[in-house]
Amino acid sequence: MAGEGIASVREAGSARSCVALTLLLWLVVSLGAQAANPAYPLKISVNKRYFVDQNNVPFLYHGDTPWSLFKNLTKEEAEQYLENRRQKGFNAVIVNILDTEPYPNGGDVNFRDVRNRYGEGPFKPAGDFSSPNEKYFAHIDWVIEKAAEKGILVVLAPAYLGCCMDGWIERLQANGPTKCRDYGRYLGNRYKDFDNIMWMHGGDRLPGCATCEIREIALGIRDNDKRHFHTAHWAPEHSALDMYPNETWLDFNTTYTYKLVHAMLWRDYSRVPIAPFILVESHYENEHYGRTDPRDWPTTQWVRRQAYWAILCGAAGQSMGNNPIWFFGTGWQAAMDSPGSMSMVHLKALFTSRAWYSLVPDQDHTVVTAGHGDSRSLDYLTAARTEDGGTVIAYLPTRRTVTIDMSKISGEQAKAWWFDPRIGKATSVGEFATRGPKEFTPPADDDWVLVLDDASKERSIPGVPK
Amino acid sequence: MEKQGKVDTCQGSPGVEVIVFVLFGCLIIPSVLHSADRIYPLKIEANKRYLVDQNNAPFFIQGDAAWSLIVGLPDPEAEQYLKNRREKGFNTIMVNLIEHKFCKRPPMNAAGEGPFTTAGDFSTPNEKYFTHADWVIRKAAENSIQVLLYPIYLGYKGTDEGWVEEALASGPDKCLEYGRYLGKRYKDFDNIIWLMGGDRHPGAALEDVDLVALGIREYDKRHLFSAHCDPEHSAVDDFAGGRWLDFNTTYTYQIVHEKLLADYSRVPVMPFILIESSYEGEHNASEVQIRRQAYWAVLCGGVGHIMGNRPIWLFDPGWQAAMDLPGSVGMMHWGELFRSRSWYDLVPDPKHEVVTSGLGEFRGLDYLAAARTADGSTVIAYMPTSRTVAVEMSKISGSQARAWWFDPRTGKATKIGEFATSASREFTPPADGDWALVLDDASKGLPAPGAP
Repeated sequence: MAGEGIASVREAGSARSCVALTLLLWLVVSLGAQAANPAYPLKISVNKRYFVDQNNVPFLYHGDTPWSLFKNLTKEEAEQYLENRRQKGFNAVIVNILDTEPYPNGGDVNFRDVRNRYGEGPFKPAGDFSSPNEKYFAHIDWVIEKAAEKGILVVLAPAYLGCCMDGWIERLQANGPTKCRDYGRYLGNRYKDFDNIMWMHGGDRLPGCATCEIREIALGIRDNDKRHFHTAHWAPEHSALDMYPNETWLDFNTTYTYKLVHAMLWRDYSRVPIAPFILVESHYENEHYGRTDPRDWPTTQWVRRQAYWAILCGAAGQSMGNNPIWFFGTGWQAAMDSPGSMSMVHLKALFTSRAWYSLVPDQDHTVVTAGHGDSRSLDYLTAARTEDGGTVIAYLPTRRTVTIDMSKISGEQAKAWWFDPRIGKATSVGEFATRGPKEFTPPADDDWVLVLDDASKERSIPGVPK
Repeated sequence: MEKQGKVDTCQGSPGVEVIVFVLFGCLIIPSVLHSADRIYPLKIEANKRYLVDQNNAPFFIQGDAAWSLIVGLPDPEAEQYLKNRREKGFNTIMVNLIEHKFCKRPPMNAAGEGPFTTAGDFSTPNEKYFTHADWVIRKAAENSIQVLLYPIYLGYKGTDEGWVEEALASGPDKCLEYGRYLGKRYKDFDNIIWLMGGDRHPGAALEDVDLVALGIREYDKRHLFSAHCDPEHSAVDDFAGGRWLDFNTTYTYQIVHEKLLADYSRVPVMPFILIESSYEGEHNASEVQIRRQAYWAVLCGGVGHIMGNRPIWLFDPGWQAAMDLPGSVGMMHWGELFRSRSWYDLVPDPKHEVVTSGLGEFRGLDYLAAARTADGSTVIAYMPTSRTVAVEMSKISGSQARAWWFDPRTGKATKIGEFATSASREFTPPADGDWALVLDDASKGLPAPGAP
């Protein structure tokens, strides 16, 4: 299922490719290999709360952040990475086209080029945005196509700005708006026919003194590529739509926070006008900026907590991060099977076994009526209910007794489950009448997910495909 | 050290009060009075890490939020409040001198007097209003309680809770005049610390706030000043390099210990208190949240904390009963514990050199905060949840260490035993919930933690 199938998917829309797609899907299903790849490029759902593919199938953005995938890996290694992520259900990766390097581009004094594993840099001469190097971009093409084979969306960052003199913001300014527009047009022209991409501007920093240059890149892309969405990744505690407020080229939102994650998620959920948002970055597994002592790094439970909060606060998906994966430092292969990654496998299995796209956050505590924890703290319970009342899901960062208003669940009887987010195993609690309040207490310490279904719907076990 | 409610209302400077008393007989409570009994006003200790009283004794701030005390309560109820707080060891309350919203008929007090004879005009103070404020401050003094006095509370951004509009309308000249009025009026009260701003960035009112402070200071050079800014911002963020800011305040609803450690690490060094975090009865705050933020405050290098409770802070119905809820009781035991040890000598352990495992999440709610006195004679560690912790015993001075579990809920200390001060040793709390571990150099013969 290599080249030809991919080409067909990319042309989805014409009658011929629909046939090809159907054949491809049949082939995939009959081989029992995997579920069908999403039909990219993505679209936004009618209610603007999540993504759908070209066939209007809801797409749960389930991401990893291999920022240096293009630059730091060979083709063989990139394929190894993508295959591992595919097997774990990741369907989106954020990658820098112009990547970070420790202090490469902090002003012209120390400027040196970024080189990929084949010795190619993005521009000839180095740093000149009007002279893209065909070989550098041809390698990127190859990786994006490889991701397409595996059904993975590549979120492309055209020029990583850098948090701390490790990005391209000075080079953007040095090139100026005109060359940035040309660079954008080059990217738009080159990638307009790739289906499995989106654009993400910025990178760990507010646009600041490159406000104009970033806009020119985005508009330059759009001059030639009107098929793909744009978003952005600014400084922590800022969402994509916080910048460029009166412009229309940012299509969806991102939440980026190292603080009270659920509070920032609520903020983006409550925005008017509504825009879909993903939790694009919070704590990465095995690192926390400014803290070198491993004892101060976030726990695996933290990595889970922020991801569950994201979905239950109404996000269209979320992105995990891992050190050393994000820059492919020593040990990245083993890290791909870390507890954080495994927790993400279970998270996706749980939500895709239910109508996640129909979940409405329980912001006013009408479904879960007690046991929330501190609303401005980190043990906060988040819950959501499908619009039809068929399913309620609540995530408890710590063990406590919670009270559910059972009348909020449809049907006569509700089936209750505890889902263990560490191992992905669900345990039945029993069936209960959908009347009055009922208390539930997790079977053991730590974090748990409570799943309640309308018994008449005969849902699968949570975490098992429908 | 226990101050028995003596008050001196009109003496000039320290040392002259006896003469004043003899000559004019104007003391309300003419008990034995000499300078050794005077604790207020507070001063900054020479090393800038903590506050001291008039006898240079370190002063631990155990505070309560009583925002509407001056404006909201009739006299007998104000006395009832102050007595209850004093009995629980509270020595500090934060109070709005003028209140914009949270009382029955703002900005009028319970007797129907407003602060200004022309509404919102800072140049027209109403003598009757301020006479009542004087009375409340004196009553606090009788209870050995000092008042963090807010002359120009600004109010949360986007609300009408504060005086920001009036400050802007009155303008710099009237604000300076108002400050001078307050300075003259309150310079001879001992139990005051001035708190500028309140709950928001001064923004456009920066000059007005600044001039109120400078106006006060023209006449009143005796009292410390601090400020209370927008949530997640400390006083020095808005008033850095100010001509009047004496100590810093941490204000956060987020990752409390992280903000505290940041304020501890600031250069130049300034004493700081956790002036506000979650209030009991708001934001779904749990009992343990109220305790953990207070313990974090001290173990991360602060010199105290102001707790809050709704309905107490605005004296809504039910405030009397709320004074005996777990939040207030927990603060009482918290004060007892730290005052029973050399809290002012504690140095935070953010690199985990003393407590080496069982730390919880660095940015989590279960974060263990530990501190050790500079001489190694005492280590105190607070854990928000029960877990086994490892302590590097060699960090404790002497050859033997005496270990205690202190129960923050009840204030009861349980002796664990005595152990050699060598190698690493594990300790596990006797039950679930939050606990404080106290380790003392046994040769010092310190009393049980929390004992007077």
